[in-house]
Amino acid sequence: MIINCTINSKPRSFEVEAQQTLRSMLVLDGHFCVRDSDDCEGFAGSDTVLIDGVPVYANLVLAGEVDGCEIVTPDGLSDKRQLTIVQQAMIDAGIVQSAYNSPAAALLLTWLLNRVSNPTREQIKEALSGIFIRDAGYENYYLAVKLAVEKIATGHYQTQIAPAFRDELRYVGKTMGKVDGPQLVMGERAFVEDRLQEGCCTLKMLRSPYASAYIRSIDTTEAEKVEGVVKIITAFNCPDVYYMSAGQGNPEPSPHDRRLFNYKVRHVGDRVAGVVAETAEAADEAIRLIKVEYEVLKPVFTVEEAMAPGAPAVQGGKAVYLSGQPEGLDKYNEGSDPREGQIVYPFPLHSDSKHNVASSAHGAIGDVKKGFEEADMVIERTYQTSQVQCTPLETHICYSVIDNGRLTLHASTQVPWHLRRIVANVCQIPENKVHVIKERVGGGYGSKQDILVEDACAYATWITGRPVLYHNTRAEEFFANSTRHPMRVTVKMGARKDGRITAIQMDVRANTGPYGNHCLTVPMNACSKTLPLFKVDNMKFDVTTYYTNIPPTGAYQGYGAPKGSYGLMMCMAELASKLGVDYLDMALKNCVTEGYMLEILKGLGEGREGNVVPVGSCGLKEAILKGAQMIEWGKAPVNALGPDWKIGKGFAMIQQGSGLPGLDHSTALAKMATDGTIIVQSGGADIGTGLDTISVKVTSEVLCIDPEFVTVISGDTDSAPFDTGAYASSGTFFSGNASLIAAQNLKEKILAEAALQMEEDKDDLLLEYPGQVVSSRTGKTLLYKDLIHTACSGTGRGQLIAQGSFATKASAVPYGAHFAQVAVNVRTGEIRLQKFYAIQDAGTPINPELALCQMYGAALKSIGHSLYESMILDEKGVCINASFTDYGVPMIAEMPEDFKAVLLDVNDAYGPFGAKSISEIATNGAAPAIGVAIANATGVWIKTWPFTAEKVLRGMGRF
Amino acid sequence: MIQKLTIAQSIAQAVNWKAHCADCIYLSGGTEVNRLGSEDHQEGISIGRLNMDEIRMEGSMLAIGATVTFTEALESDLVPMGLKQALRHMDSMTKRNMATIGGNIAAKRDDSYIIPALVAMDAKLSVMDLDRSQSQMSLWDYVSDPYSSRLLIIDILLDPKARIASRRISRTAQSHASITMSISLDPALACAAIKGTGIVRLEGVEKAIAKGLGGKDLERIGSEEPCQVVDDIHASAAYKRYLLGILAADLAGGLR
Ligand SMILES: Cc1cc2nc3c(=O)[nH]c(=O)nc-3n(C[C@H](O)[C@H](O)[C@H](O)COP(=O)(O)OP(=O)(O)OC[C@H]3O[C@@H](n4cnc5c(N)ncnc54)[C@H](O)[C@@H]3O)c2cc1C
Ligand code: FES
Repeated sequence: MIINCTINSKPRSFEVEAQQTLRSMLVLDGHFCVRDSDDCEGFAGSDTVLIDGVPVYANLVLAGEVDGCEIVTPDGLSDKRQLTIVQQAMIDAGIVQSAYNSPAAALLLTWLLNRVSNPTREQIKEALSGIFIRDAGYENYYLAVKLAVEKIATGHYQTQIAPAFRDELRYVGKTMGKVDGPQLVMGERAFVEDRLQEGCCTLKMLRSPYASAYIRSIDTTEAEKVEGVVKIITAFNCPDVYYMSAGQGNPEPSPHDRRLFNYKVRHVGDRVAGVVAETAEAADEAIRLIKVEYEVLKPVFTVEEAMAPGAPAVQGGKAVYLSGQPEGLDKYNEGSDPREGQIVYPFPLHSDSKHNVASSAHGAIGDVKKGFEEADMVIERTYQTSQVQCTPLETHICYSVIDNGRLTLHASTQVPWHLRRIVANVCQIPENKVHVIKERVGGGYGSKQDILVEDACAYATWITGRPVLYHNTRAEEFFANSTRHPMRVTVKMGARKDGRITAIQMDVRANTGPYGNHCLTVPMNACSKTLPLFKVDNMKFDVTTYYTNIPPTGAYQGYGAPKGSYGLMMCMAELASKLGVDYLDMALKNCVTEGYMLEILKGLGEGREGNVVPVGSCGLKEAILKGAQMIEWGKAPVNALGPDWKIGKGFAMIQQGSGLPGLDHSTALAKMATDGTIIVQSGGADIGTGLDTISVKVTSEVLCIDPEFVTVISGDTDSAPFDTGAYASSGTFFSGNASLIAAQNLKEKILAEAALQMEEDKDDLLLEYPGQVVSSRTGKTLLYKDLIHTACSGTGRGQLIAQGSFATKASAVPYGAHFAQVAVNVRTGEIRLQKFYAIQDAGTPINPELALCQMYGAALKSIGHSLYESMILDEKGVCINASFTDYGVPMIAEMPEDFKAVLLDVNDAYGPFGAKSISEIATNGAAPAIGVAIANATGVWIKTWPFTAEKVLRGMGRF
Repeated sequence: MIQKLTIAQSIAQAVNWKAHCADCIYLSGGTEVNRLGSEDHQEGISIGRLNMDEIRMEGSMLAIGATVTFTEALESDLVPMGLKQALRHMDSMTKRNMATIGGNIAAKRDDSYIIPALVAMDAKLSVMDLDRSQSQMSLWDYVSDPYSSRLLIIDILLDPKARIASRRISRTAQSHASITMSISLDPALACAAIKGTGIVRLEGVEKAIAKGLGGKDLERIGSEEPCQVVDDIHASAAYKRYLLGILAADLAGGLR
């Protein structure tokens, strides 16, 4: 049918298919920022457009219905790449982070401000009620509107966007706007899906309906006859290469326990066959025609089932050690079924795969037994956490092409270099044949530290020579992706009457699911990012990770720390209440302070002996005291809700790390372009957090040059040097330091070159804003543009290029405390989060506005797992809530009524300009803070997350 | 999803098409028909251009056109507060801009936003059958009729003075509701959408309200309603039963 409409005020005419959605019509017309992030669920709002001035979801409108309508798309807001006031305000408020939904949000806020010149908080909440924001939380959206209102009314902002840090610095610690903000908020091409060429093939997966089964045979004869099918890849024709999906440092602390396709499927949704076809329809049809014969096996789903004597082994393959082979391996391997494949260990992980133990670690300081004997009271509690999905708005995606005989991957990844290594290994080609281009990442949160789609996509291209797109559906994200490990955390804690803790024992049993990616590192974090908060002489931990047949797990912001923190803090709070000691006093009495020697770290290295160091810069105590003051700890809360509601307060102290000292490594190059501007080639992978902006700022700061004249190229394995990647909170500390060192080295080169050109002594020269060298002796100046012109003019010494390389044993540990106030309805069990205050020491916040939004975003995610989110499997292991509505992510309605993020002023000795990491840590506080607050309100200590209304009422014995 | 789209230009045309196509469905706001997981249908008959989007008084009754969106109803001064409270159960403004009152009724979901409220308001529907006969029927009869999808809802008719109270209990504002309940005291009407069960008339509660019972009595009677209640992904049957009692008592108490 033919329809006529206007799009962004331009008359347009289309011939549309009857079932075609408006979004599909718009995307074909070039409005690719009208996206879909939920398989047309009508939930996430990535497809928001205006029809006749009304915001609607374009995926739920049929194109045939818009005849005669006026349509506005997000990319129609700005004219000629000129940011609108709203778009600029969004960047300035720090909310344009991974930004997959930023264009749609800009459209909604513009629509709102066109209707209401100064909207109330309620009206803003209403306008944003149909859009899912996972990255920055929603809090600073209110600020963005306020800024826009001020700018429209007075021409400038009146409100301070964020506090400023380090008066002596020009850019670091000041708000500036994210360097990729304009591209993202305007909806320009930025993500992998925006790079596709016409005619590319699609890769789709046939997935296992069984949680555990051997594949007896796969018959692809009929499927291959489908027109447009290019290749079908299965266990029977894929490379016999074992690897693992976690993008971690090499040698990896995870077993290589999978191939591209295995002879055994280990979870519902596991890969059975990959179909490369010229159209999605052909791939679907071929998938339907593939005949698979399975030998169905008994699955195990929980740690308890996996531990049980005689439990079937999820990974019963032959163990192979690349180093540290244990004695008696041949005997251990006897009788392994070849269909199980192999488990290749880069080094021993203290595993016992025959009994489903994927890895284990143990350690202690002092004498725990004696510590418990010295205690006046000892309690032991077990806490269980659920399986939680990261739900990045941009689902996992990869687009691979052959270019000049090499494999080029457009990837949405946190780990370009690990990705290159793993893909090269899978395809059995050297790394120089692989080029990874990290595009803008529409949300990762840990899940894009895993190589979940790129391996198959790359291999498909490598063997077919065809450009291939592999894009997960939202449902696939749930059943075939990485998720938070469910964990059972048992904490035993003893203390004296005055609240001094004498001993802590933690037993962590983690469920890694079918594969062992991150099986050591994530569970270890339950202890390594919690126990070092305590000044306790006797501590012991045991961490054991089990294979099961649940959907895969992996990294999620915070790693294991949110789970360990939940157990430890809840246990301490309950012990305090039993002892009659104030929980806050108890925390203050037992928390570490600067200089305290962290002996516990010895046993907490990731697969090797940890580095014992004293506590460095530490704002922990300050965070606790600040939060206590803000929430009026100790003062009875005002209850304006009536007698059915009980109010309670809680908090948790938190920490994380800043990358992995001794394991992580970052490098960067800084070079001067021929007009005196600067190009930084950073290995760091900006995943929306503002890492590129950090590189720009530190470079500008060192080289005294306007950020406008510094460009960062990052995460491209051809044009930037090696970096371990964006995980374990390493970005600012490692990649930021590499850029800083590169800039400092370039400064040295500039000074040396200037000394020659100016015929001055190098020691007399300084760099001066804006971009020149000045002599303190003669007052002579030399602009960078003149300096580089001479250097590159054929008679000079060539382009100025410097390298920065950063590796360290020093730790820059961020600390903080999160406080919550809840109201619990003791009739319905409903929980209202009245207040949530996140107080954090991030060292020098290089991008303060982005840092605050990172805190809001991470805190809201953790509020999500604390109160709402949980993957639910049926008895066969099928995830039965694999959509947003069923799963229940927090939207703007779930925001704390009073939500504040506060950055403390702490200067770290090792971070770039004193900076530490910011966001992962912010996922660690919500569960215990809210759990303690619920207990404070109702007396119910809930020992499983999420804390639902039903659990509260059951705890109260209501039914 | 639907495979084919036709845009009706008149009510008669829409009904005529439907009469000749067993698998055709009416397409209104599309938020149910076009969303993930919706059933496949051969053809959708778009009813968006039939001028059924008026909100007006007809004598003492309020008539809400079936294609009035949730947003339009919320913005109307004519629509009573009780219904507005239920309309707000749909938390997404963008969805409210699309979803229609008629569509919500016809979808008859077990987590329906507004059917309990409309039942408690004793609403009536003006409908057209396949033979193009137009009639009025009580909303409850429509809900109870397993073949009602043949009917085109034209108007929803209700007493604007009806006083009702509603509650929706769900884990997040946009996840499925375990229970959505509405109650009116005079006449004594109580209806709940119970996830996994469907839309249920709470006859025990109605009788108890008519007798002037409240508090603990209503809690007990509500929780003992004879409908079958099942566990689902968000709530156990026990919790839902408990809520049936608590909500009945609280809503009735609030209205008194
Ligand atoms: C993420 C998401 C969550 C949702 N959650 C809920 C929920 O919790 N509760 C809930 O009730 N709904 C829910 N819905 C469904 C939907 O949004 C509402 O039910 C909405 O009111 C349907 O109205 P519509 O105009 O969009 O209907 P449509 O999608 O156009 O139609 C829905 C049904 O009604 C029929 N129909 C439409 N108009 C008429 C008419 N005038 N006469 C006869 N038949 C008609 C159609 O044939 C179809 O069968 C959800 C939708 C989404 C996308
Ligand atoms: S339907 Fe809106 S993002 Fe998918």
